[in-house]
Amino acid sequence: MNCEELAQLLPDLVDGTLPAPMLAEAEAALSECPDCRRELEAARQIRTFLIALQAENANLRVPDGFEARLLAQIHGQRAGLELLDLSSKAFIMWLIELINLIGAFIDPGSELRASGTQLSGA
Amino acid sequence: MATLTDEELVARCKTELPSDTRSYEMLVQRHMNRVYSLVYRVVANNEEAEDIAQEVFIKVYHGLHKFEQQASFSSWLYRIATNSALDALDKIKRRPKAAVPMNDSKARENEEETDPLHLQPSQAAGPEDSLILAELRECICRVLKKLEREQARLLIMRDFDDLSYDEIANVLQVGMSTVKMRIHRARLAFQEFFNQFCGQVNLNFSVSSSGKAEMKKE
Repeated sequence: MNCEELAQLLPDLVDGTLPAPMLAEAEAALSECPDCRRELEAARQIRTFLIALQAENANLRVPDGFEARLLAQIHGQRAGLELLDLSSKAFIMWLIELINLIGAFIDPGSELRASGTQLSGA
Repeated sequence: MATLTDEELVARCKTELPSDTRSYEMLVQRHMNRVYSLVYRVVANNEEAEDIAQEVFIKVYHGLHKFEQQASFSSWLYRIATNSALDALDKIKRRPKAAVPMNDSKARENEEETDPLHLQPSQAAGPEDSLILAELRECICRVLKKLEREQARLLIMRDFDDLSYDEIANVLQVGMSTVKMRIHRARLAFQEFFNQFCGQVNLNFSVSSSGKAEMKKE
């Protein structure tokens, strides 16, 4: 096993997931590859360090009331959107009425002619 | 009634939301502690972790109707959580350094204001010094910010949250060997930045019977 092949196995060596026959071969090859040894040591150190440090938070739980606050936010957002939706609809209705009114003002006869096709928000 | 899987709950959410949030609430209850824990490990602050975890579940609420279940729900959720935590790291103004500096020698008393990224190693710290742990966490936050986003994500998933390579490959939708090599490179990059920003702290940690991380003295 050359250094390049060994380098591909370093992640498994760090995690201890290499099958036994390959592990023996990799360990033998390590003695011939100082760069691989340095990389392996560094990566092992970081994994051990982070895992141990994070182990302190193994039983972390959300603060009390987390779910209630989340649902309140969601319902609040939803109510806001519904209000916005209602406002939009009301605005469009008002706009249509305004256009009709302006049309009737500019050309009073058109209201009678177009009574069947007049814009309507209803 | 048999417990519904995540995927079954997601399918229900798609028809029930927004009028009925019961299935969504079950998903939240099932995953909230793990999401909060993952986020806390990145930002190292309770209030920030809660805000971000809430933001994650709100994104899920709004995104569920588009989620097509090509990856598992949990993979999708934890990808959102990891990205949100890393985004927050960029925005969060880090807290000032801990009251007790890692190197508390008298010589430091008259030292000029140093680069906040450059922390000195402790020579006198006791193994259970929580201030040192707090400062280490701050330092890790800085290192995570310095890493490429992809490397930070990989480290969080593998070494912060202990996801398996298989789960990570599923989250990222890439092959297992690619994941392994990327994580290996991420660890090496982490060590380089850690040494650069945090000094040559002895990284030999062990976990005591009480579950506490202990720093071994050289």
